[in-house]
Amino acid sequence: MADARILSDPAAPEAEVADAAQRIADADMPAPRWAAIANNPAFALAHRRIAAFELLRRHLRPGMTARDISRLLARPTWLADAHIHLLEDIGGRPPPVTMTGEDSVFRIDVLPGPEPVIALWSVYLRLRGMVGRDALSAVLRLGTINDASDAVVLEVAALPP
Amino acid sequence: MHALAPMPTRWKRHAPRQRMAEPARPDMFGTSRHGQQSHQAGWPRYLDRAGRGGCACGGTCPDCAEEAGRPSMQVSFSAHSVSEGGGAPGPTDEYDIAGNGDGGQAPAPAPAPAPAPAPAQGWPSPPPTSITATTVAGPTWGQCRAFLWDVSWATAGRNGFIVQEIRNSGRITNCDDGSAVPAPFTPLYWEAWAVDGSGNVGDGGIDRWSRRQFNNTSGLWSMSGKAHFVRTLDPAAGFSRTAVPDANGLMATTTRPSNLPAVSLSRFALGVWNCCGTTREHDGIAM
Repeated sequence: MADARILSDPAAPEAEVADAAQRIADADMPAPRWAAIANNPAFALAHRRIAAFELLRRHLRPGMTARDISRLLARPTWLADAHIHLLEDIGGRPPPVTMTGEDSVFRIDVLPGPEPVIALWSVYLRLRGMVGRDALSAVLRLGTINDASDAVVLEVAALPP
Repeated sequence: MHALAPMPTRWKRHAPRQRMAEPARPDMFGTSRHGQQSHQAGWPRYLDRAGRGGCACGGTCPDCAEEAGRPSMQVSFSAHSVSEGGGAPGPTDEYDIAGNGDGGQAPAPAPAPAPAPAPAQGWPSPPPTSITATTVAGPTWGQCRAFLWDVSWATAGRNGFIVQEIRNSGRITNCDDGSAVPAPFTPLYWEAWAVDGSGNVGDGGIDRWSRRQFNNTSGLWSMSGKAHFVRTLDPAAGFSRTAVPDANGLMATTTRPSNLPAVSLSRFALGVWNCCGTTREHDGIAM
């Protein structure tokens, strides 16, 4: 439980938080605790970033719907609309999930911090069908019920820096 | 049956002195593989006062050794009509396949065999650092604009960055009413891959060019890339991993870096599609 104590301590050094986040078992750190840290501005940005990233990395699963993800995130204050990207034309790094003409691939940047962003923590989602970026953003951030709510996750990939 | 509109791109080959490998003409939805594409960073040519072609290294470099039998690979293209959307390249934009960064101007013809060149009046710039792009997937022209081409970078450069300029252009037209559909690309940007002291290329070392599928549309698209090797990223250019959506997390910027040397490698891809009614056509080139 020492790791859980470190992760719950707003004054814990970033390196210790990172180590604890890697070690801790899911049973000792359920999703709501990650979400609470990620949403709490009393924690440092780096600490919140680790919590949000671990929340997504550990708990997003294929088969979930966008509405399920919304519940998991619990009104994420850390997730800005501008940090949800629909991947369309690419000339650069390939995403770590499959891109097809029938599905929609999104990249969620996890608390990227101020510009210029040198290290990026991202989570990729491939959702079935053509899902609009604005609609998905509303579901994930605000819990809105819309066309994207029932979009099913086909693939998930977490990409640390 | 809808026919593809004539490809409104006029291609001009400027005095090619050696024919590059002709890109395979893909069938609809087909794939052509080009393997490795490399601009050998040979020493730049110059003309002596007599207008004779010469080699800057004075006969010591491999290019000069082969000079009599191997003229330079200068082929440049002018894309005159693929810039109608998104503020992309203008009608006179040149794609310099030779990679000399000279705007695609044709080299003066070199009479062969040339006698020993006269002493040069000043040495040209050093050659660009070699960069190669080896195809690992595609290029594939799929349905309704979909396209995919992955290449793997390699370079002789060490402890620096491959910086690639990307120019996108094209248009997407709705089949029902002929209206323009906004194209989801950034017209012009620069993106970077770090290279370590052993030549390992960061961020996976892969460059993907892909176009999103748009059903019930027709149109055309083009991409061109010019790769350079630099020691450092120009801090004034504002490279950031969130600056350019198309780069998908690479260090990138829409501000032209001020420290780019001569182009080491140029690439180009183009597609024309018609996805109206029952027609499913998409054809193009990649090189």
